[in-house]
Amino acid sequence: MKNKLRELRAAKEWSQADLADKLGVSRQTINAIETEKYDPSLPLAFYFLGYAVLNPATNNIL
Amino acid sequence: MLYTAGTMNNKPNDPEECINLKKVSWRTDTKVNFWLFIAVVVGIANEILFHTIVPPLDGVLREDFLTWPVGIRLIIESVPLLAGLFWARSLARFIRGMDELHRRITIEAWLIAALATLGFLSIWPLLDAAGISASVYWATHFHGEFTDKPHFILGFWLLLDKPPSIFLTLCLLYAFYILGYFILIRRYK
Repeated sequence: MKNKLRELRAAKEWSQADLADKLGVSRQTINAIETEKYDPSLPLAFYFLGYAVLNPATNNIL
Repeated sequence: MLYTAGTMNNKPNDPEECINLKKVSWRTDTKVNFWLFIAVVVGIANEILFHTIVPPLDGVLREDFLTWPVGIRLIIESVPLLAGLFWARSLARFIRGMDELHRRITIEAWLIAALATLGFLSIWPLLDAAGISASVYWATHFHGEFTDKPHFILGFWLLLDKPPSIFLTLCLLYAFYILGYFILIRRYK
């Protein structure tokens, strides 16, 4: 599944490890999603969305 | 329900802390595989003391063991199996704490390991009947004595020359799991 995670993460100047820590997943998971080798589950996709859009403390990136 | 990152702050369990030598954490490994260690050690002890393996360790207490009460023999033989069940419980807990990608890979790897072990132990008697272990035995022995080949490999090979023990089954299972894990993780790199 195509996604813009790498660009969005780069815009925040976060490393994969930073994002992984914030979301409570492994760095390999972030890498696999960015390289489009793994599609996140719906709950994890919601976590991404929540982190990017719904949580005001995170300084929206979308 | 509002999904926010605040609810996912716990660091997920990493399966490579138990199998990847570069990332290994002895604390995690001990926590997860303690009962596997107990099962393997007791299994080896049972093999050496009570069962026949290889000529130098030919069931030291085997004769006495057969005269002991059935209940005690059952308890002794069941210890590796019970330890294996406790190990399965701690492993399930560890898997539950992984993130979704690692959980998927680990469950797939265990599925492969279980099927490979089952297949191997099923097909072994057929290969044995075809003369595999006999030819290895005669290739590595000289008039009943070991040659200079590595003994642990011979011992492991000769373990297969009889009904499989829980020790052998656990060793095969873990070896196939590690193999399966490193094959599967390549898909996501």
